[in-house]
Amino acid sequence: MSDVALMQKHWPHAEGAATKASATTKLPATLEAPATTKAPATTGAHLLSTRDVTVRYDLTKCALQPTSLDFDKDQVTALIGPSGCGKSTFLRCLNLMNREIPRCCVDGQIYYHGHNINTKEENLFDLRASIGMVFQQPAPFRKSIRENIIFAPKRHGRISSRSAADELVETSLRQAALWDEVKDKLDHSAWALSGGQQQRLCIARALAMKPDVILFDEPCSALDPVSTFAIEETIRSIAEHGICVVIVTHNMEQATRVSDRTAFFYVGEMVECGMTKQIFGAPKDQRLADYLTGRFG
Amino acid sequence: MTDTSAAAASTSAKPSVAILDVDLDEHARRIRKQDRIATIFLTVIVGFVLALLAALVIYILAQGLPEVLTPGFLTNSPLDRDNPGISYELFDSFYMLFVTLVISVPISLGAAIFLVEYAPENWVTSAASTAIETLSSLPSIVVGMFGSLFFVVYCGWGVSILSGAMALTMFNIPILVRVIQQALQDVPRVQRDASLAMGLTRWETTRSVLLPAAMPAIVTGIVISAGRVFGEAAALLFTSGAAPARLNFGSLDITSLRNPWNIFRQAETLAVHIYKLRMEPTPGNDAIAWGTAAVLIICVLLFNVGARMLGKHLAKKMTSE
Amino acid sequence: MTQKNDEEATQVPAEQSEAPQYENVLPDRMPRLSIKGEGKAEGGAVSKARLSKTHESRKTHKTLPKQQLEHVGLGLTGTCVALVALIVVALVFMVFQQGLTTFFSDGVDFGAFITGPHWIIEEGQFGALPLIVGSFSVTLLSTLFALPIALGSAIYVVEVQPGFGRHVFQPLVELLVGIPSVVYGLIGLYVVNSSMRALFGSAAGTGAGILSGAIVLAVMILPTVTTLSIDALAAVPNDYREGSYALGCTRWQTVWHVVLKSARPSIMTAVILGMTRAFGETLAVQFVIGNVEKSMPTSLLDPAATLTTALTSGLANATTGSVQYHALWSLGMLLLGMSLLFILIIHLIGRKGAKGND
Repeated sequence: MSDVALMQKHWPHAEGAATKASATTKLPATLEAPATTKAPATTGAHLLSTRDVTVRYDLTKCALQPTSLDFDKDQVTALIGPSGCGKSTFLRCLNLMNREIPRCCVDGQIYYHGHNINTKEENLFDLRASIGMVFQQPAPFRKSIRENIIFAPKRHGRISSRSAADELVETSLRQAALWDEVKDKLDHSAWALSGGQQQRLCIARALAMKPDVILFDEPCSALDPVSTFAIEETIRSIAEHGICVVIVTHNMEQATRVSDRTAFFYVGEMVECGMTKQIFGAPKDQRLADYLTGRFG
Repeated sequence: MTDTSAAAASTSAKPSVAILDVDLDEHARRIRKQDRIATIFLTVIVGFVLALLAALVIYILAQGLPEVLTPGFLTNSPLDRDNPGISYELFDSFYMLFVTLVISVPISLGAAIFLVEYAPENWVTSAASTAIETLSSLPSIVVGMFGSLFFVVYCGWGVSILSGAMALTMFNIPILVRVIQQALQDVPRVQRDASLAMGLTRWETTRSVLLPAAMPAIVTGIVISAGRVFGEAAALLFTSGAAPARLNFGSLDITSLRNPWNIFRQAETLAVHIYKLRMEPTPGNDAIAWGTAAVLIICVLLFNVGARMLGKHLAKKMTSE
Repeated sequence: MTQKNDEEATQVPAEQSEAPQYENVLPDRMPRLSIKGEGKAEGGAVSKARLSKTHESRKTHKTLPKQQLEHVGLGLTGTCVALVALIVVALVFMVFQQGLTTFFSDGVDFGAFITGPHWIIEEGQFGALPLIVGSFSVTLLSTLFALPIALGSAIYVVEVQPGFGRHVFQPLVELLVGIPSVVYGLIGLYVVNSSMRALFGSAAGTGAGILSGAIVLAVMILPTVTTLSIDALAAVPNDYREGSYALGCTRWQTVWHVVLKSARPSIMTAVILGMTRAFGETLAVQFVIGNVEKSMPTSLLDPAATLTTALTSGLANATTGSVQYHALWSLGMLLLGMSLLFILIIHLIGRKGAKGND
């Protein structure tokens, strides 16, 4: 089938996890069997699971088709795809940030530790205390570096003394690979740092809450290559410490460098997901293959 | 182009030739001339406006400064028979401004935060916004009339500083709410998202992240609104009075009607004083009126310039510390 | 950071058959989250009840639960808004209540009120027509005078010399906005009235009249309309201008055909706002309009009165509760009605402008 016909066949009216047309290449036997888009029998095995999550803006415009993905701890999952295809929208569902947008409707189930958190009764504040987020633009507060880091833990009642605060600051900055650069300037304004340093400060800030999941929304798109490299190192080390990382990225090479699993989004639909090696080496869906070869960006 | 038309005319005239018979050079020249004339015209207008502004200020200062600089003008009481001054009015204006700000700033802050952060998208919010808009377009005399019945009579406060301050608050709230709303919305959205994504409430986010970031703009707005309130007279005529109280600055009894700090006493601000002087055709009143006007306009200009400088200073402090 | 995985399988309550079996991972930092459908209690209470000891133990000192904090914030700010709304309602209510008393209790006929040509309240003549005519004529005239100047300056500032405009002109004009209206009245009294006398001789009388009032008001609303027009023109996207230049148009052609058309709704709003301010102005006008309320003005040089000036002079003398007093409130009612009408017009312009942009 031609590309166009394939796209037209799978274009938005397909509901749920339709089986995709198989790619022309056969899977090498050495690769693990890729996860399908169908929901596995139990969601409990995963730290964070979504089942048929859809997002609608203004109650009518569908920004995300029913999407089911699982995320585990110690793993980095990358969400890739061209602009405007729903990756960030999906990411924002995971910590219920879409609720801050008026008239945005999120349907479906999101299981965190086995509980469905996509309910009206959900305590957003406790949830976001254990699912952190780092945004595209570095957004340190207009405060000192130390104040930035202990800002949230203090208000969640987790800081009992000055020494506990200092310890938290040092731990978080070390994890974010920023300690050596700022250890003498902890009381200076965070706005005096460079872009890359500010973004690492935001990562340290998220780490200070000791979350189990950190969501990254294109964290390096506004940064230079050196800072990007430093942040990618940080992300890998965060995952090695047991935190589940989900990262949205425009940059395919970044996905190959950083992630264990990858999901490809295309115009509001999660098209294919699997281990990164398989996604990039042997894509099953034609749209993914076209994206990877640069047919469209 | 003239060649083409000439050549076309020399051959037998076809109907389509007429379309080519347009002199594009002439057209271009005409448009350029239009452009030049328009530019000159606009420059004249701008020059006129600037000249008008300068003339206004210079005229007021020229008429009023001699009076202001005579000794005793700023320090004598208006009830002084030989050399009446405006000391009471000066005090009353500033005190009235202070009381007004004390009342209106917290209320406006609360209302603006509600409209920006908490407001649900339903009729409640639209009703609140409409109420504030209505307030902003009311003639000040209607506010004064309302105050003269509601605050003075129904609330029992009488003609007093408090009644006047309440009327001025009604006048000031729409200005402040709009300024604070704009200042909060100008803070980059990602700051707010970053705070909410860490599990903090909107209240904590507003108090600890948004307000500090918006503070320069808010302070500028407050000082500018103070300038507007300072010069207001129509709302005060029937709420705080058009005659000064006989103040006794040494008085220790806060309930005495002669104690300058008593908010239940009547008062007369600078603007009201000008109005009253005009209504009473006593000789010599004109000079005092001009002097008062000069003082008034100097204070208002100071407020405006001060607001801008303060705002710039705060913004610089914020980004460079 | 190492993980200690204490796995303890917990039975899901029978009524939650749709939630799958889950393994409860309980290291020292996992908060428990509320379960859907667990009673109709609000999320705060539910999650507090279900919070594991481990989460509570991470808190080292008491802080107000976040849900409650949010309600505190909502309550405080909501009260402020409610206060403002209440007082506006009180104002509108009182104006209408007192204003309508004239017609319903005091027996004044509404038609005669609106169309009667004599306003002599001491003698019981409540014809507000001269005042209405006075108000409208000064407002319309002043807008007519101010608009070309304001628009011209705005075009110059935005299109011709933006640097000068932003750093010099705009701050200076914003200073003008702050000048109190009494001061404008005082200047008008000396400058405008004498100019009228000089220009028109005896026909001008004392020099006070509708024309003088219109001139003073024009100067007064000029800064407001100018700054709003500057904002309106600056809001037109640069792409429009560049597209026009790319087609070979001159600057003036671009301004006239592209920029002004695109900014038309905002400029109309600026004009209406200027008119609102002129219509509601009291003291600036009172000094220069002559305050003749008893009969209709016949020419622009005739002294007259506006709704606002009549209100001010009348209120000083009227006794509370009398017919005269209520009649003044009726004038206030007319003023309030006009303000509401202006707001309505602005909303309509805004809506039409938004539709036009789609």
